Amino acid sequence: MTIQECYEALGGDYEEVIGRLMREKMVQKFLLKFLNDKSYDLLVESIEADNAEEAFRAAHTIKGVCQNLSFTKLYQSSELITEMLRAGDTAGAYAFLDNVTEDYEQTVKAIRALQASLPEEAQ
Amino acid sequence: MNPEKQKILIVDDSEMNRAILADMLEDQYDLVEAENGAEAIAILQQQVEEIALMLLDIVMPEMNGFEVLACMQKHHWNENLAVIMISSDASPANMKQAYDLGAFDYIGRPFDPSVVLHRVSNTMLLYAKQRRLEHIVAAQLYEQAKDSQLMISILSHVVEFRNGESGSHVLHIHAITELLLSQLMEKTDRYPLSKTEVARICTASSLHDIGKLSIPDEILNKPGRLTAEEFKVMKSHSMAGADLLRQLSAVQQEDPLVKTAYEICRWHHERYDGGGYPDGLKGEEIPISAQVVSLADVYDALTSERCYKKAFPHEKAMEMILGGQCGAFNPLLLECLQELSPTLERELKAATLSTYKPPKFQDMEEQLHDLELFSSERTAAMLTCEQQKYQFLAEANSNLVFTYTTSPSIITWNAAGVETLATEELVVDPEKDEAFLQRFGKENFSRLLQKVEQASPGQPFIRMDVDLPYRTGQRKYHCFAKTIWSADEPKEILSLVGELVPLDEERLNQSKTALIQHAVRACAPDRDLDHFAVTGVEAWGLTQYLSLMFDRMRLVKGDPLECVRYDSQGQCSPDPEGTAGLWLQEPLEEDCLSAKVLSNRCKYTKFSVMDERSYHILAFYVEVDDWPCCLELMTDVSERSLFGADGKQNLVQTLTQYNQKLYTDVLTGAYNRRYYEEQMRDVEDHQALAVLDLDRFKSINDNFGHQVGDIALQEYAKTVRSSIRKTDCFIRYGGDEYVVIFRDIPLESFVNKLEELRGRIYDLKLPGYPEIQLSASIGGVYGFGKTVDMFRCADTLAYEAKEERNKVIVRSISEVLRAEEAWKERLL
Repeated sequence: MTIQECYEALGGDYEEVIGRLMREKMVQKFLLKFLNDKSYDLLVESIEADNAEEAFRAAHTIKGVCQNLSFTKLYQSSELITEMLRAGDTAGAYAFLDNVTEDYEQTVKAIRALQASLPEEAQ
Repeated sequence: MNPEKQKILIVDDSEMNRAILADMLEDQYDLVEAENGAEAIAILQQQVEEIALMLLDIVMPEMNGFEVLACMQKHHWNENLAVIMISSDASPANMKQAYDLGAFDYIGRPFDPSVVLHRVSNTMLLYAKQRRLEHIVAAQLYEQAKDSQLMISILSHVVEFRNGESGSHVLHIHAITELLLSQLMEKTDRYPLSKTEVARICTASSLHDIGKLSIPDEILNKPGRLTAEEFKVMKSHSMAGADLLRQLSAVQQEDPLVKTAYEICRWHHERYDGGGYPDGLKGEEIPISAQVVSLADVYDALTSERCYKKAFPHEKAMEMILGGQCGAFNPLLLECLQELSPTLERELKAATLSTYKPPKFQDMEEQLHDLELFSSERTAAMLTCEQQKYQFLAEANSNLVFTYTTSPSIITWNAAGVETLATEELVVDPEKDEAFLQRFGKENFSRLLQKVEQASPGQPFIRMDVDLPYRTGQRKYHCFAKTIWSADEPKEILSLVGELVPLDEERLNQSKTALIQHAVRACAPDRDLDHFAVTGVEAWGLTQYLSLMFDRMRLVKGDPLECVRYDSQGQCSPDPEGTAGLWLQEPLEEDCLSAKVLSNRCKYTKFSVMDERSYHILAFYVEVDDWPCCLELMTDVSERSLFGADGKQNLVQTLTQYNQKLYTDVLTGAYNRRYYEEQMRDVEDHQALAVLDLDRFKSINDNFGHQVGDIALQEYAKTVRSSIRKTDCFIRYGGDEYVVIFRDIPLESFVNKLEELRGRIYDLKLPGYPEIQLSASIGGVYGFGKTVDMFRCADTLAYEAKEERNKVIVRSISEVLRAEEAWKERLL
């Protein structure tokens, strides 16, 4: 699987990210790093614990990372939930969380597929 | 860790985001990471000096980006450390808040690595450049302030010299004024004075009595009571001082220092109750500057000895002032004085020891910095910070500021440079630009390039003097520049930042002219000062007098050019010193300063730089016995700045300032043997030296006891000290043997002085022991020689004198040395 195919699978903008980060190697490195990012787990935990402040920061971080990596689809849903949480609307965020989860899982699935197709030392 | 790399602190709660930034920057910079604001502050507390730049996220746990900025502002950390905000919320409100809190730049997400890299490196470059420029500008302000203090101290020295006041009067006034003002500032905000204004009043306080120059000697130095008529003349000095300042050029009168000095001169004898002179001002009509100096003046007058009174002890003086016996003062100031009372005496003694206080460099830098921050804060969000900061420093500067890069070869000028040189702001390939070279001077530019080539990372500074076109003529500028070197090996010059400061001859000349006029009045009164003629004897007096005030002096006779000196008989002889030493740099030739003066019969000045030091030479026309001559006076500007205004005497004082106690003989207050060995022994330029040996001192000790012996020594030392000049050096060599080193004294005066000493010692009566007859045997040598040789010769002569006792023998050093040789020969 190529990186471009991975971006198509996760609903991102390959052209944009490669325009900024210049090298495929670098994009790949950050894609793999995304798998270890705990922000999504923190978002879910915080919303369940009704901690709006913590949830806002987690959502904001996801949004920032998506911006940097041009994950357009996840960016859109994370931005929406960020704004809800900024306004303190935990109930709305709770209802919307499934959308974010769907996009997040799509993203993770695509990156995992990319990871599996890489030669072993790159994994 | 690579010490050459600059350090960047990345603050972001997302490891991903930090990793992306780190990836871009780690090749060129050392990185430190913090995952929230609190951690960032903790890192800053420890390493703020090392960190050059911070990339700061806004939304973070613990402490967000704005809170970090606010905290940095509180600690003034962002003065030397640039902060670039990185956030996806590029809303105007956010950006404004960040700029208001002192952020330097704002980068929105998603960011482009090359943009981040560029902004980071530009920001760091600018911060470095700004710090350098701040330093240069501060250095220049410092120089100017130092110069004017220097001139003031020369002038006030002249006044004191004439008033016969103790040499420390001006220093005391300065110190008391400073103490009173700082006490006053602490006490009340009724007089809102800035730090600068307080310093200005202290500086100007030295000038309070310049009007006394206009008071005739007979009145000024009259012991005892003045008649009503005389008192009236005396009282005119405050207005006379003010008038003197009024006669300065209009531009100079605008100078805040002159304005303050004017207030002080005119109104330092006003009384708070309205009963003072010259204007009878009352209460707060009297400027606070004059009020403070007036009180300082009265206190010092009371506690010092004057020709008409003895010194009162501190307690008595306080009693008299507070009792209203010495004038009426602002009650607030009297309170301040009372509060200072317990420590005042001690503080004044300390102030007298350090004779010349240069302005504090640190203060200047701070003031400059405040000014800069003030103006930048308002507009930072509107203007591109880069341009704005550089422009502020360069354009606010009335001197010529330039930056020069070697490749590509470009020189850029600030507004003052563009105007003065009529050049473009930016000159590409200046070495080939004919128009530019014509204005700046081809030779000047190639000299500059030569200096750049000679510079090294260890010696990055360049100093040179250049003549540049100014109005219709030329003007001398001092160029001070620094070469900027690459951080990587091999070290290469990246650029040159410099400034051209006009050497303000006018100011120097004016104060020097005042000195000369004073000397002329003293030696040849009623003479036309602009074009004057003297006799040979008067020329001798004049040169004696001037040599006390200037570092080097020579008299050049015209047709053919030749250095001469006149002796006390008015006889003219060649002066080999006029073409030796520092004068070697100023040979007498067709177009030298003297030749110009002689052919145009006027005054010329120039600056000359030798061995990195600046000298100012003033040359003026004078006729001696109807023969056209030129008198050249040289002042070492750098030495004077370092060692104070009145030359050699202060040089010694400065050297010994910290060792004052080590160098003083406890019993007699004379310098001790240690001083002789460390400071005097190897000095070569003394002209006359005497050894004084107290006759039959041992018998006093034996017959009356050591206590009486000590009293005898003290009285004896007091007598000698009061008979010699301030510039002479009095040393207790050992036991009852004393040495006096005379500077710049004609032979005749030397002989007379030693005779006078002998006489006064013989006349000395010890209180309670009228039967003791003191006397001294004195040996004196004159001529130039090493102290150690002169001492040996004088000692021999004193020994010879001892055969008869109460006797003076004076010979020239060559005569004694010849006799010594003959004596040695005979022995062989």
